[in-house]
Amino acid sequence: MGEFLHKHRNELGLAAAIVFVTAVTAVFSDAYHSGEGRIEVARIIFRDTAMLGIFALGAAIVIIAGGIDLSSGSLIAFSGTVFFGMLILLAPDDPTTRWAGDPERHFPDTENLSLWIPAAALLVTLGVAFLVGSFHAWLITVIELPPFVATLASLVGLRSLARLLIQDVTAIEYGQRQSTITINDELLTSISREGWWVSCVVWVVLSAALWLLLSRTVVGRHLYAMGGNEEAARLSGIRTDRLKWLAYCISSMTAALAGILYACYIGTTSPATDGMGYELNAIAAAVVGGCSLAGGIGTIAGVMLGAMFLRVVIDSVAKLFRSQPDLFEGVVVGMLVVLAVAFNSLRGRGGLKKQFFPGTLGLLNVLILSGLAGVMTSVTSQDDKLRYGLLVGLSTLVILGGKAVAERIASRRGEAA
Amino acid sequence: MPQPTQNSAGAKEVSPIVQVESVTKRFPGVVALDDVSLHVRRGEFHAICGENGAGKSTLMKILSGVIPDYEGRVLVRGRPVRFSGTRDAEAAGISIIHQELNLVEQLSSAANIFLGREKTSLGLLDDRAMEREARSLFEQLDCDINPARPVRELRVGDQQLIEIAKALSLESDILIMDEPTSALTESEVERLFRVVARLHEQGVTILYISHKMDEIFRLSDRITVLRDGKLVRTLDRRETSRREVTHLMVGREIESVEFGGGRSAGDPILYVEKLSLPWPGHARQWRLENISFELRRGEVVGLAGLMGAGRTELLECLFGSSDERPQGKIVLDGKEVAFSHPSEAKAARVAMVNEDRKQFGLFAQMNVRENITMCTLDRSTQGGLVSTRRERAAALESIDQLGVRCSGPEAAVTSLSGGNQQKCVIARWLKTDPKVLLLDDPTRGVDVGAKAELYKIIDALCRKGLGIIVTSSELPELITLCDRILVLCEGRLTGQLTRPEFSEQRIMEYATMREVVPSSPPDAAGE
Repeated sequence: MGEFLHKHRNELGLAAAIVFVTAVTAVFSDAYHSGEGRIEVARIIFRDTAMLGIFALGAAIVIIAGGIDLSSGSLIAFSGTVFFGMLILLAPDDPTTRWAGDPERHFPDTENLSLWIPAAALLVTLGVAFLVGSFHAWLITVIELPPFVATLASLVGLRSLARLLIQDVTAIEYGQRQSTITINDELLTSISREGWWVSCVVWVVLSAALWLLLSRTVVGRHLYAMGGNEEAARLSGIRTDRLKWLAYCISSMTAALAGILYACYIGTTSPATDGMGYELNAIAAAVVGGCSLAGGIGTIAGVMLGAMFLRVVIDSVAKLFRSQPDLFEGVVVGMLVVLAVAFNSLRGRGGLKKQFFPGTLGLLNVLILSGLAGVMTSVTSQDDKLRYGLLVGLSTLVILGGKAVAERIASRRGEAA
Repeated sequence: MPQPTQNSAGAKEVSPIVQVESVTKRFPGVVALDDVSLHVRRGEFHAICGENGAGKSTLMKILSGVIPDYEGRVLVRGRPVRFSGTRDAEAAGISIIHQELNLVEQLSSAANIFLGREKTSLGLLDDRAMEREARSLFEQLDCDINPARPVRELRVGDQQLIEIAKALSLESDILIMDEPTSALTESEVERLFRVVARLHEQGVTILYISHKMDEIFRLSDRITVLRDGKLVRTLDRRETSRREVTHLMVGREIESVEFGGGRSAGDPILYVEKLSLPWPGHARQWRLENISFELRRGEVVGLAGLMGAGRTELLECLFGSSDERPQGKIVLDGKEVAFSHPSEAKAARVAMVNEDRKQFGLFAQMNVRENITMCTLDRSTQGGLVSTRRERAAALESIDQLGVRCSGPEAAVTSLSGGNQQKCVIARWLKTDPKVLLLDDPTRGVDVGAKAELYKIIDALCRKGLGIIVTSSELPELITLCDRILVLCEGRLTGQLTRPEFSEQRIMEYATMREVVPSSPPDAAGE
């Protein structure tokens, strides 16, 4: 039992944190106070968690294998475009409509697509993602680019490519260049209305499969080994180049799945803004979930809980301050990543006995943290923004300043002793 | 040899320069040091010896400020100290030269010596002044190193002297050396000892950690033996013997077994003809040139040579892990092979244990079980999934077979001593059931007791019919282990000796020989 607790302390800690944050939000937020509202909130959280969770799994596999994949956000936009682009290309013409410039031509009929069309589009999109992953693997193993560079190129390149493609595809099907595609198909729009569970099912099934892969197969063990010590893995006769191929393809394909689901939920794909910055959310979920960016460490359960924790905190901040979730997303993700990683590294060394504010840098950061606390309070207050901001900022300054002074006294005593 | 007697005679009266009083250090699950008390006299050469895992390195890390938290007390020059970092220790006049050197490879040797306390003029780095001072330090050490050369271009022996020069420039009068000769060639060891002897004459107190008897008995005034974290005894060198020290270290007599007796080689298993390894962009063009030899079943062949002679490269060619593709012919068990990846070598049942265990062998974040089964995990599967039960059984079998000392298959591999870590890596490869086993300096950083165990393991494997090629930086080891020794010099095979011809002197002659001598030609391939 004790061993179980120790081995899974990371996962258990996250689960406890999720319960705690949810409870706090439930107490203080109106959204939870009606039965229907509660169910609705839970559905939305599960859906968002699952969406993030799906491509966080891919990001985590690459991180565990000792690499990094920065391309997932753009790949979400790209795969949404490919998926919807394929739909309108394959859809039959709707004879009741006419092109503005050419009355002989018709718009595609996307209202009642026969089932094979989305199925084919899905396969094509996943195929394209496989090619993207293979391209990354080639750049990294053969051309020997650092993973950061190879996938950074895709991060900027793929979104741009999607925006170019959508122009041409819409020109072919609608006779005019557009930067978005909207689909009205019954099946797909039903996903956005009551299909919150679709992404959850995809997420859970994918997690189970990848858990099996990582913790119960030879390939999984080799992925951990490569992440921990790549040279030793190669010299143990492990084909590290093939493992990287696998890892980057899993990452790309999970991002593509997420991209397809996002497109379906929204009903419109718009590559200029879809999935913007999501690659960092995925990496954050993996890191909060206990993956080490140095490679070789991390679990699927941890990544699942990491994604859930991120979404729960983003949601609860938005609820408590009655604001749009996406406004707070960056701040929340940023803080959680710093806290999670700091917590993990402090647990290993000295813990809270460590001196936090040494020297000039320490003093400067007392000011920075106090300022941050003040600004955060100010932007989240409904009224009297200046007063609350100053109040919280100054009290933080007093507390942290006191800590800094106490540390200095303690270290001086330590020297004298 | 210099005379340390005047130093030690005078040292009797003065108060100890370093006093260690009841120091205990616990790591999770292990007591690395158990109530150790030790006095070091001013100006003495004090050897600290013990098997790996005996606590030597831990003690030295406490003295040099690397480990700040421990129980007990340390006094330097009579004053209690508690170092919280190497800087503190340096300020108290203690410098340490670690087993693994702490140098920034891209920087010049002068920049490394003055790292963290660079000389400046007008706010800019004054490279000239630093190089000038570095040069004069090197002169004091009687060695010829260009202070402007990046450290990575220097040999390991020279790199070590840079650390010593750094200690000198810090005006340290207590120098701790942690197994300084483990990566050096014989001639570099000689030079190092000249330098150390000179420092000793100048009155520097030297704490010398080693488990090599030759080195311990060369200069020491006193010898302290540690075993299992406890101090066994401090002895005066003149009143003890190698036999006694070895006995105290191991806690039992090591029978000097004559290996190789009664072994008889079988059919050839590996045949190498005109093997060459290109060296692009280098004046020498070839890392290895025209090497031909054969290996038989049930035979241990040693590869001797100085550092840079190409021992490791030759093994890498046979294992398919060399950076460039070798030219020439390699015939394994009657079939010509050309491995381009270690996995192909593994499939053809060639195994290799690499030289640098930490960098190329161990998976530090994994446990003993996972480290042992790394190459053969597919045998512990059931329906495509790994069966932990089977895997554990496989690991336990190896732990028993090689006598790995650990708390069990789930122990973190980093909690094991160097010798036991090495056994895990060897076990990993033995599980692949190899026909040819390549061992690159397998006993490096392994203590006396574990070494003897490794010798026995190698001998037993050989008798089972494996063909084994082994390299070593210690010639006596090759002479003990091998049936034949091949000597390399600058990438060429300069000599081949059979057991009756073995002598350190002959091997060294071949190892420093510039032109190729027609070695006894390998018997015809088809024999």
